[in-house]
Amino acid sequence: MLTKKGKYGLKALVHLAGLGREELAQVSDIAEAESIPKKFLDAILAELRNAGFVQSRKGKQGGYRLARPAHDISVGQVIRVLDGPLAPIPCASRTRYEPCDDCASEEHCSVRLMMLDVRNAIAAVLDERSLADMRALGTVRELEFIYHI
Amino acid sequence: MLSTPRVIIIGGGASGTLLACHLLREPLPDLRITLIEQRDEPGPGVAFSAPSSNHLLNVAAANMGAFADEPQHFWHWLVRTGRLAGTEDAEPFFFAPRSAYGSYLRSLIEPHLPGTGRPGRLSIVQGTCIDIAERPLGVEVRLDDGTSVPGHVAVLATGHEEPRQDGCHVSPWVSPSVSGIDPEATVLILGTGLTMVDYVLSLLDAGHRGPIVAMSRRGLLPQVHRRVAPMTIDAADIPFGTDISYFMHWLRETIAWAEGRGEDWRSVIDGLRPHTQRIWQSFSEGSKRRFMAHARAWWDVHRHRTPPEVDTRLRAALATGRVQLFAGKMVASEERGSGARVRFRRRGERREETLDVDAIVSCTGIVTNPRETKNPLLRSLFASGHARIDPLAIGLDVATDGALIADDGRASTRLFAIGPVTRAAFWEIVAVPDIRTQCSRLARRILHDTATHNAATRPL
Ligand SMILES: Cc1cc2nc3c(=O)[nH]c(=O)nc-3n(C[C@H](O)[C@H](O)[C@H](O)COP(=O)(O)OP(=O)(O)OC[C@H]3O[C@@H](n4cnc5c(N)ncnc54)[C@H](O)[C@@H]3O)c2cc1C
Repeated sequence: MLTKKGKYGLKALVHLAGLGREELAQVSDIAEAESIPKKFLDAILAELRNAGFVQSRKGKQGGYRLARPAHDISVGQVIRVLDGPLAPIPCASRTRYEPCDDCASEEHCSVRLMMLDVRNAIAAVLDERSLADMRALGTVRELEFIYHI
Repeated sequence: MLSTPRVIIIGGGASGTLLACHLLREPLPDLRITLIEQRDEPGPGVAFSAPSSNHLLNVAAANMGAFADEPQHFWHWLVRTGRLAGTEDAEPFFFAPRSAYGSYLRSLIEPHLPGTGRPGRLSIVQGTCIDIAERPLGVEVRLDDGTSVPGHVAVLATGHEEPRQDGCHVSPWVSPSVSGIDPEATVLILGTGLTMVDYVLSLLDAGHRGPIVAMSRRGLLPQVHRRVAPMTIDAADIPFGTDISYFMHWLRETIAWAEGRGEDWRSVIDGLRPHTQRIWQSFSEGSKRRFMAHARAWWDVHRHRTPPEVDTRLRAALATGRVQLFAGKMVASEERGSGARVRFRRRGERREETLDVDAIVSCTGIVTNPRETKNPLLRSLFASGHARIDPLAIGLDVATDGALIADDGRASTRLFAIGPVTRAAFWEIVAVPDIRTQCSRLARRILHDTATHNAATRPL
């Protein structure tokens, strides 16, 4: 499931996807615009930088920007980095999963096997959509809102 | 005027032959294929003409079948044709001689060649292709003897670059005796991967007595195969699109996790195989470059492993000093008599050392800079702008369906490529299991274009 970290990370990246080519955004501005606790956001952005999705510049004129074009970064790539293997429940991944406390055999648990199928469907959706698509989703909704007023 | 769909394949090594097999498998009586090969015989190419039965495949027989949906096809052929006589412990997971695979490839195309009483859907043209011209409705493939072959679609399967063979430089793919290496000679092998291992075995088999030195930057030897099942890894587990250092960290941690559960690291590496092309394609150009510079040596030795019997012989030769392994870098070499004086620096040292050698065998790998290609076809395609080199300069720039990308950035509808020349788009496109999947896809695409009366197959 998407954690808070995953949710905040995506919001921050979609925010950065809206910047101009050479523009950088300061952490405090992103935090305020997206209602994310700043300390948490610092940690999240550091992880995203580590994974190669954002770049940062220090100093007064500093801040963050995307390291690759928004259409090159898929939503699934970001969530795997922030939340680990895509999995609807903690045991439903192939690598580094946590078996449930009350599980006798994760190889034969029908709930887990079902959820392994579900995760592949989730991955298929998330890997098909980029940050640019995600940003467009939000903008379309905004427009609809304007037209309906 | 040509009315039947005609596909021209340039290069009759494993890739070209496998593509021909996939096309011929379709019940299309009209389809005509021309395979152009400069060697005497199409089929084996550079990999599978090894004369010695000590040269083994490095993929188990059970997974060397020509067709992606029949991986055991080769194994069944071995059994059916009685080629296992004398190999007592042969079973699907054994490593067959490479020359047997060459015979297998030939056996697949033979029934389609013109013979008594049948026209045959496949024709072989022996010659070197030097250029391809695009015509409004097709292509014209030109040969060095001045003739040309018309077709609707041309596929480049030109494979590996011929290694350097001048002065004291000998090709790793030619046996030491044919290259004229004296049994007492000092032989320097550059590179310590699978090609080096092959060459050491060739030398030992030929009764070589002189010193053998193998050198590479890190001196890493290929790991040995062990029979373990690949782990199931889903795309949902893999951190696609991340920076290479992040990715390698993930890989090492996943291996540690698997080993903690009593599993073998090979299971993880092999479990990634179905995903490697997608992983490569998800990397940024910078990540791909850093992979080549920093991670590739590690990846190669874990991914491209030796059969246990080969490993045993190599380790024994190292233990007795029969073969010396240096981690270091050749700085320069200058001719000296019929040999060369090589200056080199060991890893972590500043001091240069010299070594007088009689022969140098370059086994530094099959990835070469296409700018330096000696292949006349590639040179003229680069010159005419029908093809261009990829940004990393490791092969041809191709789209993921194999279409050649021209100088102006446009993907061709008539010129395609398969096999190692397409490595820039796939990275892992060297072993048969990867090539056959690529051939199956391209065959379907070509046949689809034919079936839908695409412009590509209108009469010429
Ligand atoms: C030594 C070695 C061992 C290997 N062992 C294994 C193994 O055990 N298992 C496995 O799965 N894979 C193995 N591989 C990898 C693999 O199968 C190869 O990558 C394979 O050789 C690719 O075939 P190819 O047809 O693309 O290239 P090549 O074998 O290089 O064939 C290309 C052919 O095209 C011809 N050609 C080129 N240019 C022209 C031109 N202009 N005109 C006419 N003809 C031309 C050449 O003469 C050549 O015959 C090995 C590779 C090597 C080098």
